[in-house]
Amino acid sequence: MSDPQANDEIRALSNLIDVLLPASADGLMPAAGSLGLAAPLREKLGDAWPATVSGLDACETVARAGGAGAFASLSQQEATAVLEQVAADDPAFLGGLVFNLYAAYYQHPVVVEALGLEARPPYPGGYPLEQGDLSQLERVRNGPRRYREC
Amino acid sequence: MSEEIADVLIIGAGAAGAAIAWSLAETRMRIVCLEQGDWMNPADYPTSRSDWEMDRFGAFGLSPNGRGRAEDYPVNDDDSPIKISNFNAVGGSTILYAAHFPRMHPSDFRVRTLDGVADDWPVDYATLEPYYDQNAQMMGVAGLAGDPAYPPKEPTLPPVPFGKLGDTLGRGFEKLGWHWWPSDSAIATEEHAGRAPCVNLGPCIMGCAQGAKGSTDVTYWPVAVREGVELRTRCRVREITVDENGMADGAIYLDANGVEQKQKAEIVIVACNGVGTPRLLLNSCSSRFPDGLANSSGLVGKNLMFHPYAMVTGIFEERLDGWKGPTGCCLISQEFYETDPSLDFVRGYSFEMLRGMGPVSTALFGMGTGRLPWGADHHEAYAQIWDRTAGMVIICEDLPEEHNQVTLDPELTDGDGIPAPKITYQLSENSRRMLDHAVTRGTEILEAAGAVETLSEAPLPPAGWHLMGTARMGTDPKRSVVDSWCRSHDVKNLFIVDGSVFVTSGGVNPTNTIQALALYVADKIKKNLTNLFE
Ligand SMILES: Cc1cc2nc3c(=O)[nH]c(=O)nc-3n(C[C@H](O)[C@H](O)[C@H](O)COP(=O)(O)OP(=O)(O)OC[C@H]3O[C@@H](n4cnc5c(N)ncnc54)[C@H](O)[C@@H]3O)c2cc1C
Ligand code: SF4
Repeated sequence: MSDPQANDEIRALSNLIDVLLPASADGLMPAAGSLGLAAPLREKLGDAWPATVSGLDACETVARAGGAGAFASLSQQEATAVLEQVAADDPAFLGGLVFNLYAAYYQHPVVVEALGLEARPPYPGGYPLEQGDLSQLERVRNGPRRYREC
Repeated sequence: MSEEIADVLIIGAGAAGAAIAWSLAETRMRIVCLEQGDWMNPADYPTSRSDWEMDRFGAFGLSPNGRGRAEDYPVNDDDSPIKISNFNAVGGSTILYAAHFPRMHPSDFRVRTLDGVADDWPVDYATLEPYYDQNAQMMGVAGLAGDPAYPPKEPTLPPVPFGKLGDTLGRGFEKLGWHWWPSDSAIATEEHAGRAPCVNLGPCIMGCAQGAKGSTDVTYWPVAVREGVELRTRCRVREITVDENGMADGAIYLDANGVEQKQKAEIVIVACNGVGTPRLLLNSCSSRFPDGLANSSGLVGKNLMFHPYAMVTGIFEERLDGWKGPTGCCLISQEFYETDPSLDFVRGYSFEMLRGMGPVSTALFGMGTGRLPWGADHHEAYAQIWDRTAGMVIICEDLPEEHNQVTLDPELTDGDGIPAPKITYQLSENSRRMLDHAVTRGTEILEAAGAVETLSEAPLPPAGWHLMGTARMGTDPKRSVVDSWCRSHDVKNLFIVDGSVFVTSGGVNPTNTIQALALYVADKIKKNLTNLFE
């Protein structure tokens, strides 16, 4: 993307989603921004994008008003406080964004593998599934008839 | 206008239309089926893509109102706590169904005699039994013989695997000493009649890319078409027409280009489901039938039954491998199926155990239930639910009430300008009590199986997928729409073979019974061909 303003917006979104989904403490789960999810997320947001940009601007304004500097320079804890304040003022801001972010994050191959699955669509490979313990059914099998004869 | 008169015109190519077309094919009559949807291409099903989980919010959603497919018709279900779920294609709603395939119990056909409610059916279990068996062969039913909740029956294929999740839940039932059994499922657990075996993809309710699930586009239809049935797709029937003697003589339909066509026929069979069928009959008004076709009783569209569903989900400490395996086909419990006079409701329900969720669905479940924060605590919270959920839906018997109904919406129409159906439905007091009982007992099972937390929802809003009662069977023309072999009391060459004809709903998924009835009606037609119109 060559438009400098658009680039700035994507960078700001990337910072924001790193706050929403940071890397896990054990390092197994990556931060959302580091997966490059900001650009596809922007596409997904479609008509909701202008509202998201307003929210990003609000984060910047609140961060600077607090005297701590740019939103991108805040610690996770400071950024969370800013986001909570912005979300309280504009409850619609995070709903659609978080929904789409979770969808994008949890289908990303790196995340899917980190969860212990193979990073591929279910079809055609499928999955093995053990039959299970049918002997558990003996009590029911040998129990009384359970339907009414009529 | 189609030149040739069909011997039999079937409207709707779903579960019932497919079964009756296949059975009648051996007569070598000229059979034409008109279906508003198209053949599905299994390559288009979501599980072939990495973003498969999100398709339930799009083209493979449950509601015809949100899918945006030209083949769908809208349904106004604003006046119902339970919303319509269906699919319009060759295969009908079996394209999306979970393929849980229980039979009804013998007592389900005798509810007035046994429990003093609603009406008995004019057919019984013994009459349908051979047709259940025939259907098991054609649909490929997996299961395990020996369930004491049913008269003896032989499934065609080995049961769907329990996996760790099923084993865990089974231990819960064993602790309580309750009934449970592997579900009868229309799923090819082994290669069957050219169908590849199930490979446990998971989301059967978005279409089976493997072709293992018994949707009728891969079971009955290929055989019926080979046997000479003509299946015409993208043909939406607007009305059934009648001749000067009040007999059905064909249908007017809109083809894929929206051009009006007419198909003449000697016999008309309607199989458009419990909402589509009353809609079509009510749209088929004439000077002879001003209130809609086959409606002298005034009961077309009345007595709509869903199965009010509850959903109970448990969160476990250990991983369950629940993200794989057929979604709705693991095991069933009918501990509270038959009427128990010590309880505060009549009739009963089934527990149907569900698998777990994929990664995205887990996150959205966590978000929707307020247990998954964004921010620093997210991953720890996610780890507590990922692959640690198991649960059940509970299928409660619904009893017929005339005020629950399908009518024509005064304003809403489909893409061809045909009036759309409107649903008016309220939960009865009996259903509420049954749901309360079911949620309490379902929670007990999950706790006995080791759930550390449970949550429930009842009624489940999107669960309007079992559509019954809106053109009921009976012997009295004043109190029913069709007779004991599903022939209209008013129009002697008009048959109805979908869930509309159900007198009561039982407490199990209906498709096996819908199809067994369709096969039974086909046999009746075949045996009575010479005096069919008397
Ligand atoms: C998500 C989901 C899960 C389900 N799970 C289960 C389950 O596990 N077990 C079970 O037993 N049942 C289940 N069901 C229900 C099952 O799919 C239905 O009971 C069954 O398909 C009904 O069969 P039918 O032939 O009456 O109607 P359908 O299968 O709905 O077929 C009706 C057909 O008629 C066509 N039609 C309607 N009107 C017209 C018209 N005017 N002109 C031309 N064509 C028309 C439609 O396009 C459709 O293809 C489920 C359904 C859904 C949606
Ligand atoms: S689990 Fe089996 S039946 Fe269900 S979609 Fe996958 S292959 Fe098909």
